Amino acid sequence: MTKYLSLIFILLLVSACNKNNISPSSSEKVVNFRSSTKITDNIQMELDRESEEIKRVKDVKLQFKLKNISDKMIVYRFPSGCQYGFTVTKNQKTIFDSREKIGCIAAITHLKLEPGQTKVFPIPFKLFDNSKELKKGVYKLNAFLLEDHTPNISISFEVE
Amino acid sequence: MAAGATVESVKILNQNGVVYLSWFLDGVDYIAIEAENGDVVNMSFGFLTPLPDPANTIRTTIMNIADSGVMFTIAAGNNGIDAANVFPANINHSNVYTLSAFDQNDNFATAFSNFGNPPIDYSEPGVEIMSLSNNDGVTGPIDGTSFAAPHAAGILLMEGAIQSDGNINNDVDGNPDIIGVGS
Repeated sequence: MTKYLSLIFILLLVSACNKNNISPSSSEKVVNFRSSTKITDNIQMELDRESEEIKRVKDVKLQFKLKNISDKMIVYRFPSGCQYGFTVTKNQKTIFDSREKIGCIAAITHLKLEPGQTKVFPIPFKLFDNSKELKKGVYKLNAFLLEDHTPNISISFEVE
Repeated sequence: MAAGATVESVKILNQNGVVYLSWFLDGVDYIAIEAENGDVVNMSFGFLTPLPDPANTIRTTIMNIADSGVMFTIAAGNNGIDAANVFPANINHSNVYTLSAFDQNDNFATAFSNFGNPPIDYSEPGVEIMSLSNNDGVTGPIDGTSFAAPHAAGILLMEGAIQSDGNINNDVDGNPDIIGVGS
C-alpha cells in the first residue's frame, strides 16, 4: 500500500513539474506600445495612444494620423461624410466595430492630402460606451480609411 | 425648395457629417413630440451596418410618427448598393419616401446612387448641386442623394404629394425610378 501511495505521490510531483515548465510562456509579458507606424502607398500612418493606462472604455483615446510622403497630391473619395473607422478585437474576436454605431451624411466627400500634409483623425472611443469597464486582456485596435481604401494600421494595448 | 417655408433644424450630426445611433434616437424622439400632421422631415444620412438595437427602436418610432401624417424624405445613400441594406433608407411606409439621384440629363447617378425598388420611391436631382460646404463656408457643386431627398421634401411640403414626370434613364437595377415633381 505504501509502495502505491509513494508511486501516486511521485506521479503528482511529475505532473506539477510539467505545469511549472509551461508556465513561463503562458505568462509572457505583452509589450504595451504607445505608438504604431506604418507606410503604405506613399502614406505614412501613425496610431498614437494618448492615455497612459487603460481600464475603462473612456480611457481608450487615440489619434490616427495620415501623412502624404510623396511629391504629389493624394485624393481619396468617400460616398459619405464618414472617412475612417476602427475595430477593436480581443482573441481575434471583434468586440467593437465603429461602423455599427456611426451614420454618415449622404454627400460625396474627398480627403485631399498635399505633399507633406498630415490629416489627424481622433478616435473618441468614449462616445460609444463611456462607463463600461474593459475586462483584463490584450486588445488590438485597427484604424482604417473606409470604402476599401488601403491605409490601415493596428496597435495593441493591455488592460491589467 | 419651398420658398417661405418654416424650417426647424434638429441637429444630430457633428461638424464632420457623422451621427451616432444614440443621437439619431434623440432626434427622432424630439420629432415625435414636435412634428404635426403635414410636416415633412428630411433625413440625408444613413447607416450601413447598424446594430439591431436601437435601430429597430428608431424604425418603429419613425413609422409611428408617419402614421400620424408626418412625412419623411430619406436619402437612399451613395454606396452603389441596394438601398434595402441602408438604414433608415430601407423603411417602407406610405408617408416615408426614399430618394435616389439623377443628373442633369435625367440619367441615374450610376457613379454612386443606391438603387432598388422598394425602398426607393422617387428619384430627384443629386449631381453637381450647388451647396454650402463645411470647408470654410465656400460653395461648390456636390454630389449625393443627400441633395435628392430635400427636393422631395420641398414638393411634399408645398403640395402634400409627389407627381410623376416620367422615369430616369439607365437605372442600374433595370427598374427605372420615377422622377418626382410638383404639379
